[in-house]
Amino acid sequence: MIFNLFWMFLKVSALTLGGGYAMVPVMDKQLQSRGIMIEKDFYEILTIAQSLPGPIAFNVALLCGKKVAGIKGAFASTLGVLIPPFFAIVLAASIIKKYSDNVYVKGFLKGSYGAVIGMVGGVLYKMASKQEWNLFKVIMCIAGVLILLANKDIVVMVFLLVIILNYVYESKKGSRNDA
Amino acid sequence: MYMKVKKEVEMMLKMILIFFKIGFLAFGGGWSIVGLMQEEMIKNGYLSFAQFTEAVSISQMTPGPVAVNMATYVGYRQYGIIGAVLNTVFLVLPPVIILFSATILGKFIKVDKKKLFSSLGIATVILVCLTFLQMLLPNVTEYRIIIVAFITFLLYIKTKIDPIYIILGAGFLGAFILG
Repeated sequence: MIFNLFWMFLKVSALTLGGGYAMVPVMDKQLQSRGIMIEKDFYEILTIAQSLPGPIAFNVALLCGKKVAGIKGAFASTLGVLIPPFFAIVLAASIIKKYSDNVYVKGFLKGSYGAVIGMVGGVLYKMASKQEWNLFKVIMCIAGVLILLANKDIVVMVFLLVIILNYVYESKKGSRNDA
Repeated sequence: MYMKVKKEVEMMLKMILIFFKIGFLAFGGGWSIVGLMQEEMIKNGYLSFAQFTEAVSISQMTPGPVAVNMATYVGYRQYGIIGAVLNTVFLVLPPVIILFSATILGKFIKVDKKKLFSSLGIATVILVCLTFLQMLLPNVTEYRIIIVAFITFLLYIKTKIDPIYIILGAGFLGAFILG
């Protein structure tokens, strides 16, 4: 079972381009077809994976491995997820070192960077659309972004403060509605 | 000799701790922390701005989560395989730590999960917005990059085209017009 987990996550990680969100549906399918996990358990895991920091694909592997085969399973699964990108990056870094002065390589990386900017904008748009906005959240967001643009050393403080303020605000609003 | 080794180890430790710290803020996938990485990498002299954009493009085009790939890439550039391994492991350690401590903490502290996730969501939107602006602002004068970014944004939110094809397409376009 341990090796099975390792091999499955290794394969999915090696063969799926485009980051975590592309990997999750493939993992779901593979785990089910191999009879490692049922769909209901997978969705439970996905919810927890999204509430932890860290890459979603890594978190899903961590939680699946832990559920199916304990600590050893968690270790095997995460190792499987991490190995392919690791070697891909080491290889890419060595190649880029050699050809980084080539105009075509430079142009290619510049062009794709433009697309990545647009994609991050899209990720932001989708993430923001999922929120239930109110004036308090809007003000906090604008203030937070402006403060962090000016000074990133206090990011942990700003991050925690936003969470606490919003939590308190929602709790107060909730109790007012109850009354 | 001893002093030199000691200094090297101290500097490597400093780099690893940066990624470890950033890893705790990686909610909602990797894009929330790319903006923070940009700041830290440039401030500490690990990458120039141009090298940072290359690293982002490469990390997005290779398999694996973008934030993990960035950590591997920077570690490999600075200290070879050892740096790459340590950076990767320390970036993904925070979700492991939080997962195992949350089970214990949950017994003592009662929080409303819905409010907590909604608050986490807002804090994450702020960080992704920061990443987006950090990537966009230095390029506002490069109209060709802005056009590519805008088209990608529209394709990303309006169509189901896998972003990896848009990014590769933009790369080939860039090789010819930006190279």
